[in-house]
This record gives sequence, C-alpha cells and structure tokens, in this order.
Amino acid sequence: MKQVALRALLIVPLLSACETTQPMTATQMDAFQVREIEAPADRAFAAASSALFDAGYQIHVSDADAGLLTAERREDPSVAVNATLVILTGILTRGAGATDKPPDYYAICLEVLPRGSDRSDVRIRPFFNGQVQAAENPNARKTVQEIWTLMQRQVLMKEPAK
Amino acid sequence: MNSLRATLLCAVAGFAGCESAPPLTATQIETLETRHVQGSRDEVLRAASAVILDQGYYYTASDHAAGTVTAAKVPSSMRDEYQRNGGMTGPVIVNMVSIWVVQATPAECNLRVQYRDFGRVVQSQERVSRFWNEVQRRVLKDAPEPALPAPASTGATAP
Repeated sequence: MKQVALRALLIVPLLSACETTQPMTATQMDAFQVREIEAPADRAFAAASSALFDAGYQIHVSDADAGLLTAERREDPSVAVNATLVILTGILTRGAGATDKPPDYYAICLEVLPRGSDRSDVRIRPFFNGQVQAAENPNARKTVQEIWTLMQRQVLMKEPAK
Repeated sequence: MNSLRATLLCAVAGFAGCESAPPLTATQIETLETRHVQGSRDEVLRAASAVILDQGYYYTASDHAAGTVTAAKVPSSMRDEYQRNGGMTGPVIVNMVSIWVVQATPAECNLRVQYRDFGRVVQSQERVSRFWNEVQRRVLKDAPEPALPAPASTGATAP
C-alpha cells in the first residue's frame, strides 16, 4: 500500500509538468506587437513599406486605404548544409530516402491603424513557413523590433523641416 | 426467392437512409455566414482585419473600397509542401478565411465571414460566431472615448 502511494506521489509531479501554457489573449498579443508611431497613417504606411523593402521582404499584398501589408522573404540553406544533409540521409536510409533542406519563408503581416491626425498604431505579426509565430517567441520579437527600428528611421528621415 | 426479395428491399431501404441532407441554398448560406456589427464600415473592417491576424492568418488579398479581405493559414501537415513549392505564391492548399463588410444602416454593418479548410467551404455557425464576438470586442476596445461634457456654468465668479 505504501509503495502504491509512493508511486502515485512520483507520478503527480510528472503529470503536472505536462501542463501546457495558456494561449495569449488578443490584448496580450497587442502588447507585444503593437507600437505607436508619431506620424499620420499614410506616412506610417509608407514607412512600413519602405522598412519591408529595406529588410529584404517582397510585398505580396498592399492596401494603403485599409492599412494592410503582407510581405515574404525566402532564405535558402547553404550548399554545404544541403550537401551534408543529402549525403547523411542517403547513407542512413541506404539511398532510399535522401532528402534536402527546403528553403525557409519568413513573412510579415502589418496593420496600420490611424489614431488621430498625427499618430498611428502599427501592428507587426511575423510568420515562419506559413505559420504564425507566437508573440512571445524570441525570434518573433526580434523580427518585430527589426521592422520597427527600420520604420522609425524612415519616419525620422522623412520628417519635414520645421 | 421471397427471402431474396425481402433482403433486396431491406437493402434498398437501407441505402435510401444514407442519403445526405440537401445542400443549403445561397440565401441559407448567406444567413449562416452573416452577422450584424454596430459601427462604421471602416471600424468594422479594421477590427475584422485585426481578428484575422489574431487567429493566425496572413492577408492574401484586400480591397478597402469593396470591403473585402482574404487571408490564409498553412496547416501543419502542409508545411513541407509550402516550403518546397514557393511559399505564399506556390500552389499549396491552405486554410482560408474571407470577410466582406457592408454598411447596412448608418450605425450598423453586415459582416460576412466564410471559412475554407483545405479548399472546402466550412459551414460552421460556431466559428462565424466566434469571429463575430472577437470583432465586436475589438470594435468596442478601439471605439473613441466619448467627449466629456463641458462643466455646467454656475454663473458664479471665482474669487
């Protein structure tokens, strides 16, 4: 009886470790992805388009009136990595299933929301291989920060002389 | 012979029972997919675009003048195909959502939401209602704060 109790005690902490994290609420996601920019919506949109070009993205969808942008960037693995992978998988599967590494696709969806006449909110949502990246993902945060920095630079560069 | 006939009759009756429900009419589908949202077309369109991002879709088409937005999401099972077939521009079957916002009255819009999973239209009241709830929540959150009424003048002068 004592042994059963002991086993149960050992299993309970193991099961509790399997607990999954709660998905983020829309407000929590906004906190990670939405930034305020001191520019009207049309200038913020232009800055966003420019930032995506600067970061090497190809724009697929652009609707300035709605403030929506979608852009994608392809990253191919190096020839060395691909060759190594093909040789290794070829050896391991005895030539039956040699495989290469497909390219990675990084995408960004951007929404510019006007907030009065001289301010806008910009929401940057990163995707990796067609799937959304969680807002708290370090890579996603890095991407958001990169686009945001490029946008700010564009807004500052085009600031009219006073 | 009689038992054979009886078996055949039973089998026919059984197959007749397998007949699927008749397809919904265009009007029925429209009713299923359409909800009313309080707000201007611009507000509702912005809120709906935000909900699309919340749900993990990326925009594939947008026409502000027409009030339509289409977005896609790559199912995990299609991820490899997506990578090997040119990404967003490739011929990969993805899950999609399309929205259409039309101003119905000065204070209200019609929001039509259509989901497609693996190329097939999904007629799900639950998903449409969930989308609609999220849009309403976003419209309320983004609504401009009402201007505070000016303090009533008492006619008294400050000392």
